[in-house]
Amino acid sequence: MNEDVRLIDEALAGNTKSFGELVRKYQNRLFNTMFHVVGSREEAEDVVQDAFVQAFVKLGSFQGASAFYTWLYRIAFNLSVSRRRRKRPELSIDAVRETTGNDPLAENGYPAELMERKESIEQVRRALETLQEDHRAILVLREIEGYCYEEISHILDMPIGTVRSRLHRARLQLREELEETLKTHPK
Amino acid sequence: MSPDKHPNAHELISAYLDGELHGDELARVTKWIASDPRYSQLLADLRLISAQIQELPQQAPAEDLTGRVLRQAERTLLQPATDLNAPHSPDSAPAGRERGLLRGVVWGAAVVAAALLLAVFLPRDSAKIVSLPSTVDSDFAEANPQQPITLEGETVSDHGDLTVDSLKNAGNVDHAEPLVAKRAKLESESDRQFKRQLPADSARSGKSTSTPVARGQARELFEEELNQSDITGESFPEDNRSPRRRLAASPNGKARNDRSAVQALNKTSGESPPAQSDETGKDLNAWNWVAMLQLSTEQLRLKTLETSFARHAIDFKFQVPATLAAPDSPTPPGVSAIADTLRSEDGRSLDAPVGGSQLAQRYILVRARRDQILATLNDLQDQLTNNSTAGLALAEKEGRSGKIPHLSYSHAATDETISVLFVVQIVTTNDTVPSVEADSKTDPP
Repeated sequence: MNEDVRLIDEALAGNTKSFGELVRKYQNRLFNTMFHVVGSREEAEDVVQDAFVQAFVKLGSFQGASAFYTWLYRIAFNLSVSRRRRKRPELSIDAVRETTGNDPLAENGYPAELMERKESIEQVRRALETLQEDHRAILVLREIEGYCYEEISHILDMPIGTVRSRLHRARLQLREELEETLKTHPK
Repeated sequence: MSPDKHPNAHELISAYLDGELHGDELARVTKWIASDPRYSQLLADLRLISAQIQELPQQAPAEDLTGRVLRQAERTLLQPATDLNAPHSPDSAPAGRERGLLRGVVWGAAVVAAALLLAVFLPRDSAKIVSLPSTVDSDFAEANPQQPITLEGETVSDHGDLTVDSLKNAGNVDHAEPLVAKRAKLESESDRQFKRQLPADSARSGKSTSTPVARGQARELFEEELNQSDITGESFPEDNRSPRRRLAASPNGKARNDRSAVQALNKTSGESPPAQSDETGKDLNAWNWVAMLQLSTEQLRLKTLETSFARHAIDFKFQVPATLAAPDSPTPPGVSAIADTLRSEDGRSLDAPVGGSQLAQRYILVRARRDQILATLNDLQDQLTNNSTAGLALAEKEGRSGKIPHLSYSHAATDETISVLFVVQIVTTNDTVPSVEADSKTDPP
């Protein structure tokens, strides 16, 4: 029996500790993804926490048609969308930078290299921030989560053709945003 | 650089990058890329962007979210059931598969509250009851060896594994989990009344009889204990004991009812030493109570496991060990009234155990049909409050001091059942518990 299925069954039988194991298993992965979707640590943490809570409360409705994480991500993504709707305007880039804190960069590099890498990360983040949220979510699911189009289609509940076209539009926009970086980057 | 020789070229190359092309499309795009530098450049750019995104530093939450998630989930699940006025609708009932979740939470919450439970009438000698049998119902232990327990909104797994097995194996209080309590409980109405009474009590008590002092110390110590997590009955490390702790528990588990201990305590706390009359034990009652609280916590945790989980009890009884209860002990005020009411509602004997002149511990958990109980909940709550307050007033009237540091009520319900929990804790500073007459006066006819 799949470990997630076992933990879910145990949680449904009243063993909250088993659900705790699911939280521990997926919290970092979901947080990392949601951080890139929502652009702020605090918001990502709230979304992830709320998503797990909703998943726990609604666990009885989980039919196992998809992987638990996929279901969980859908909950998280829907939560992030509804939170954003309630919380316009979006965070500024500066605010995002402020909340992201220090990047866990390698400490053994030369200062110049570190600065360069940090700058590169900032540029990518800024570029991501310029995307529409639905485009950004697709890009994150593809690039960070590594989902295929079919899985993304299922998670975001949209046709595969839409996933493909939005993904390419998101990439083209990023390409424009990162044009300078691409020119200077060694091929 | 805009490859527009073919419609949808961008999209196809993006899909090519992701390995999402097949058949003719794949062959076509492969040919484009090989033959046209604009397409190969586009693919290279997209590849680089993809790599840059994938190389973004991994982010993780600042702390493990497990505890927060489970606490919030618990609140979310229990919230609808705590509204007595909310009409019960079958539609609002948890779905079949979700009942287990609720059951886990409800029982978890019940265990926690059980650990705090009761009515405690604590005279000075009560601390002699230290060692308690730590047996856990074997049937339940076998059936649910890994059943987790939730304490005061915390999942025990945050502190390690607290399961039936772990408790069973712990064997004694030394290995049990620390008491977790909330400071907010001190702000109950009864406690506010207690605080208001302090100046008058001080004036009445005169120079150094120190009943108010003891009560103030009791309060202070109670607060302190609420913030402690290392209280496990006899298991205080000798070197770390404060004078209060030394007073609270002697090596053999008995309170040290001697003047040197009192003086050590008062010296530490800056209070004047108690008068000779304090050898009646008044000053020490509070400390004994603290020691007893530690013991009770451990004892009740085990007892709760044994009864509620093993038997899925409709009614619940907490047996005060025979060694604790004096045979001639009267019933503390309020207990019999509550027991009678529950008995009449539930139609079952609650076998209300009563502690005695030394100690009365009372734990009532009723799990019965919702329709049998809901109608009486408010009355029961009032009775509990009134009887407890009346008992305290009676103690005051008799020149004794007392307080109700904890008095709470809660319930949780599914569509079929409801769990009710009353928690009362009463501390008095006299050897004499309320008499039988007092009981009859405070209980409703």
